[in-house]
Amino acid sequence: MFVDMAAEFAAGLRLPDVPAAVMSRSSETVVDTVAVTLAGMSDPAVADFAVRMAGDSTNPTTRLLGTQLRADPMWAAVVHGMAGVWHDFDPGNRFAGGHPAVHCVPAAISTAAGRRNSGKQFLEAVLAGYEIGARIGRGTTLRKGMHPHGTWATVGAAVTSAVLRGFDASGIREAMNVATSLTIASSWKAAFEGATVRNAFAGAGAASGVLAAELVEAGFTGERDGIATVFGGLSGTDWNPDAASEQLGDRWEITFGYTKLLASARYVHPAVDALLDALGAQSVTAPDIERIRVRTFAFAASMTEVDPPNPLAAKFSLPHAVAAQIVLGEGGIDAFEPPALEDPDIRALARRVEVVEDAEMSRRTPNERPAAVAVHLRDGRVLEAERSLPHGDESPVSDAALRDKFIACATRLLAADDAERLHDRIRDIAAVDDVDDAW
Amino acid sequence: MSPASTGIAALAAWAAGTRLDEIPPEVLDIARLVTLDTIGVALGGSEAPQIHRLADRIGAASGPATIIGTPRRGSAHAAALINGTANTWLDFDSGHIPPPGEPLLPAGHMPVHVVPAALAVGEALGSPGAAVLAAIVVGYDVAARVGISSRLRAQIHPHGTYPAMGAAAAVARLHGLDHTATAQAMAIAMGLTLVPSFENGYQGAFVRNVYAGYGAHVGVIAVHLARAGVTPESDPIGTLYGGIVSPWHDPELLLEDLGTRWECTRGYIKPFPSVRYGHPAIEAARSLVDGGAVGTGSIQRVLIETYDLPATLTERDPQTELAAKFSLPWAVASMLVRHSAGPDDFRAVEDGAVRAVARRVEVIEDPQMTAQTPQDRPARVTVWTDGVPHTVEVDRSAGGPDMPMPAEEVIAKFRSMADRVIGPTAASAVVDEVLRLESVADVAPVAGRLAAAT
Repeated sequence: MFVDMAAEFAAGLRLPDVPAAVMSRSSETVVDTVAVTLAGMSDPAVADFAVRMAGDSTNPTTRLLGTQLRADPMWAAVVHGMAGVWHDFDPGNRFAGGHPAVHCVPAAISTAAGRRNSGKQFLEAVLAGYEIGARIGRGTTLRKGMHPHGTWATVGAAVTSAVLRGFDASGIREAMNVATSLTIASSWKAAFEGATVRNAFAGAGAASGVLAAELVEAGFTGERDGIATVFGGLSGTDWNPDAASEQLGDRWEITFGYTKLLASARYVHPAVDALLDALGAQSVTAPDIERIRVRTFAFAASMTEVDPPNPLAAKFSLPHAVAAQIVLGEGGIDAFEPPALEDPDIRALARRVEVVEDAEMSRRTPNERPAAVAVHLRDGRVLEAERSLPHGDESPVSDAALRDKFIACATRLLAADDAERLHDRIRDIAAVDDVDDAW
Repeated sequence: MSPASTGIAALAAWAAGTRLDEIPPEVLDIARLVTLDTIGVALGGSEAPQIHRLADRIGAASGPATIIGTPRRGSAHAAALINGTANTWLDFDSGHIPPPGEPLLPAGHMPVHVVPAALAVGEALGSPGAAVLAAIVVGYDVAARVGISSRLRAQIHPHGTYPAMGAAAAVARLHGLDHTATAQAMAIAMGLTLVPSFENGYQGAFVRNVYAGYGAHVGVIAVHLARAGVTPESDPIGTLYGGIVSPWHDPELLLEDLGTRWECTRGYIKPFPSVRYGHPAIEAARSLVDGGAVGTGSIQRVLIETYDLPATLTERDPQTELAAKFSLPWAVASMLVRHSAGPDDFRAVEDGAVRAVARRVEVIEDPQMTAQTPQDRPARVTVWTDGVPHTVEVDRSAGGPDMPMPAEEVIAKFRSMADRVIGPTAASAVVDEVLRLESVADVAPVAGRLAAAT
């Protein structure tokens, strides 16, 4: 049974046995997740919610990142999970089909609060939860219309929380079986509409991971194979334990994860990267462009909204992402905030972006996520480029790029020198004695 | 911000705008009894050691809301989480019955979501009893309407699903949110619908008991999210209940007779702490005991013939208290051997004499009985003692709208659980206060009485 193998793997995972490349990818993933969580904490709605949850806490052990607030561990996980996905800038994994890190890292921060866990234990727990979460994602086909946040990655968060508590394999298995029934019916339509409840899905998942481990410590039990029940017939339709367990212990899922350098849905990134390739060093401005044609795989090609009503919806709009990239020269958080949405140049150019599905490209997913862009200039020239994967997927982003991303995110809340110090501490989190001090 | 769908907007406008004096007195009579019953089963459930350990871990010495049956307190959402969990521990809580002519489905249990959320928030805010009672009535109503206008997939347990929207409606009302903000909170809660497995119940896995508490706490948190400016999907009922967790949804049924047909009057109060559709067989067994058929003599064989749903409850060897509640052989054997099937009987799941009889119980579906549903929900129990068969047939179990549990029995059920947890003085005061809830100035002292002495 996958749940047994997974629990044994998580209980036996020791950092000294982990290949160096995996170690380094793990700490990069933590740095990236903390970065985007800080960025999310700067949003007024998240900040307001954080104040409410901290104010309602009776055991406020967990520091809310980037603030002086503390909250109960579960409520801190809700806030952090929600903040982590707020700008759709968080690390993901295309083979898993979702975002394990942003569930596991908040669960780890909350569980470690007051437990004096070392940075090594923290990394070990995040890696264990990431691996198991991503593998459940590999084996799961969610029902049509479902979004991954708050679903299988919740079970990964439970593994993270269980490992940090020092559970043995049977305790970890129990936490997984408890957590599967605390997953939600996450809706994709919420994301397309730009409803920010979409971000609460991840918060709920991170918190349920902590809750599941808490329940097991209190004597609660779960069914024998919750993963098969829930992902085999309730929220999933075709649970595949072989896909989930393939090369467990040899192949590290975290090394297939990506770091986003654009604050939008991953599906639109191949097109934006192809656009940048097509433009190269040439200086092209919106008035030079007659139209832009994007060919891409089916799911990305469905993201055609020309006038997205809000920031989250804009992140799922290929026309907006492409137009903002040209008008603003960037695809970070501000390219999707209200001023960008109201920018008449972006709106006008977005209407000149045509998006079509290329069936052959659709067949190449998930190994590739292809896009081809043709920029038709008013002078008659056509600038073209094609990519099979977005930047950060075929090779990890550089240390410098990740550091820049962290600083850009963190300085939305913190002073520059505080942001740099925080980055340096977390980049070397394995050296921290009490991970609580890292934040 | 997405505009709310017609359905949720209409439910929210009604939930936020209905005045207590617009709710008919006979509806309030039932609502007060259901509230009392819900608090009682939480007190009974709070005796589980897991509840105390959870309260120790998540609760604190002080906080705005009582964690029922424990000395701990917590935030309103923490209290809602744990109290809602205690609420379903005994499987003794009341549920909603689909309207006549509709197929029988696992019932949605609105009170174990709406009452813990409304009580915890009412305590934290110091709300008057009248506000809490009205919040419970409207919260129950709007959530039940999602249940009857959809068909939750069979293996999804209804706890933690749509009833959470009722908790959000009740909490929004206590916070005085207008109809727009109420719709936001309800739609957010709907978006956080759990997908919990029914299998946990059959296997007696205790996470089943957390679903309702989870849904109750979602109701509280959804209001925080809405007030913070988080936006919901425009039509989460359509997306989730017309596709993802339920393949069918009828938007007209959702709003049918809103304000004239009161859903809380279409529930049942359980006479036995076990799965509802097993109750006709337990009642038949009780008649056999009361009639002296199994007074002496050893029980050689038991045959239970019943309609389709309970005919699936065939486990003869349940391993936990919760699993025994989903085992018709065990529940009927308890009645035959212990002459009782109450909370303490199910706690004694390892009773060898009951287990010996449970192993001799056969459960089969009688297709003719299945054809009689949903008007009747029959069971026929035959017991062979000394080679002689004794048979009793029951058409429907008591406790539903057609055979409501009399108020004095609801009170006796409450006292049987409350007295030993909070003492007879506090229990008696709570009965008095809940049965005149609209005249209570502040529910905080009432909720405070539900704490166990330190």
